Amino acid sequence: MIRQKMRVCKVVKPGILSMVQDLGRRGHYSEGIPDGGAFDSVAFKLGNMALGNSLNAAGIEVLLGGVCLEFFEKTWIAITGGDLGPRIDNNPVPMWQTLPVIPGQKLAISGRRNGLRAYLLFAGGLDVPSFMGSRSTYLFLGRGGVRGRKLEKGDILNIFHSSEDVLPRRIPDRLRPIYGPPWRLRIVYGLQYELFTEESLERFESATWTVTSQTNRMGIRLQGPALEFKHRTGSQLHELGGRDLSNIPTEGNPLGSIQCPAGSELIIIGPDGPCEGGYAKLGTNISADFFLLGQIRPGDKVKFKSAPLVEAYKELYRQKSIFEKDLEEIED
Amino acid sequence: MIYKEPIFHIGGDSFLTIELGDDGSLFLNLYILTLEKMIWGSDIPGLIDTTALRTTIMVHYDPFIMQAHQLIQKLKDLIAKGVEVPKKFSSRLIHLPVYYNDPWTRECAKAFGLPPNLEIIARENNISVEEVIEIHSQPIYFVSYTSFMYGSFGTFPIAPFTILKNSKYKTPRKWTSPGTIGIGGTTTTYYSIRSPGGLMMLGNIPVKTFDTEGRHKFFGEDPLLIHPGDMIRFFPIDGEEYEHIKENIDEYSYKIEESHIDSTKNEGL
Repeated sequence: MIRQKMRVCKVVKPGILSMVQDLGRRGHYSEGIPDGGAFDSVAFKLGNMALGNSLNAAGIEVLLGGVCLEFFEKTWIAITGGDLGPRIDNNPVPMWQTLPVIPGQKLAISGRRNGLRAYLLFAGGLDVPSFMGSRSTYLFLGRGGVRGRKLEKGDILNIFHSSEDVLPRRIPDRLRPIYGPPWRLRIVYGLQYELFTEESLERFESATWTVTSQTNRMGIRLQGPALEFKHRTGSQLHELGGRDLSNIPTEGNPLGSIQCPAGSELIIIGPDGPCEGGYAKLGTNISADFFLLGQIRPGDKVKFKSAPLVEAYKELYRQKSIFEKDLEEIED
Repeated sequence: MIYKEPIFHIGGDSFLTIELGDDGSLFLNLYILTLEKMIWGSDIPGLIDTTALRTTIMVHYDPFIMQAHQLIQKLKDLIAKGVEVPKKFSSRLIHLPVYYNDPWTRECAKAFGLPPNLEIIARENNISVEEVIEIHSQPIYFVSYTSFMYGSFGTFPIAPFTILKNSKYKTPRKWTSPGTIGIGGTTTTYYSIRSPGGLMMLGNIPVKTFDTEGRHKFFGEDPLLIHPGDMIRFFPIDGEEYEHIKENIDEYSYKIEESHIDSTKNEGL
């Protein structure tokens, strides 16, 4: 395949927080670099799949909308994820399918109907420099994506020109994720769940939690009933960790793990979350549900349900199998 | 103490945390780093990364290659072979300049309604600010972890083992100047990036601890200066020296000595 750089569009309005993402980087946790990547990775992959791209081809993650792009080239795009009201030249356009665009056309994304993040994928994928094996923007360090930052007015985006022709293709309804609210998230208990009182773990599962406005790619904060910790005995862990019963000696934070500082709120570790921390964690969201966290909005209600580890693996294998087929094969 | 049997904690379907002991001793740290090296030297498939902290190693694994129960068995077998911490644990001693009580750190404290944090620590320990600086810059520190943020490190004093009493911010600061070192308990931590923080701030380090753009010739293949298992000595500099280093940041000549740690001397916490 011949690959050459090509200007695809200009950012007329960048929106609140739009940035380049791919599926993220791996293997840098011990250096303090989280995996990052498109938060709703399922929507992201489905968009690339429709375009016939590599699943990892870089696109734009749009938070809440307010975006306007003007195209320079005749090409194909796909919009997936949360429905933030995409329009081309002011006409609403369907999501979850390939769309042709021509020079001079304007794509606007604003007017939310559901979800929180939309994904804009381009045939061939966006051409930005790779940082530690990924084109994903990591804002905290200011690396990846377009100069390590969110999109700004006037940015010119390039794509890798793909010589393969894109066809009109849509993602079948049954493959599209169903977003809440209501949100039901499956978690595997583990880590420090034994530090919580039994009643607290019951309360955790029976309660309805509310997502707070302090929610971003680093973490999702939820408010609900207070959780309590057992009194500790013997071990020096307590001395090393800190005075509060929710403190533990600093350790790695799995993606999707749920920590509970002071028992007063929950924080779910997001794709750009801290690699380590010193708060007790009661469990971890199953990886197959992690993408859903990218669409939960402040104010939304969330319920947690425990899942056995075997279910977590089974769901993950099932989810992966979707992306191992060609779209044509699925439609047959 | 190091546990006879490690405790395995399930972190969902892609992470596993191995708890190896419950003190913050230097020996436990060296044990953890030795085991981490053994894990990477083994034939365990599907490893993505390992994050060693003061009492644990978190293993990030590929769930399409390995499941938790298989990984636990393989790790148990590996540990059963024996984790031999070398008597002379090879290390490097890195000398880092610190402008203690610098204007930016004082300004940051002021922005959050506090006096210079060194003054708070001096008062808490009933000594002068100069004595705090002297006590802090005296020991050799052991780098326990670097996963706090890119280019950061968490250290504790090993020789001599010194204690400076300190409290934390009641509510975390919204920001900390990049380059700040802070103290929490016996741990001295480096904030490489502007970020929130709750530790008392001691001063600022002018030199780079990472260079992903290859501007400084010291950083070749490895963009990071400091790794777990290294040792650090902080030496005080004044404002003039600080400015001089900052102006010539990409020509700074790092002072690093090949060294080792005597693992039979068990200090720290």
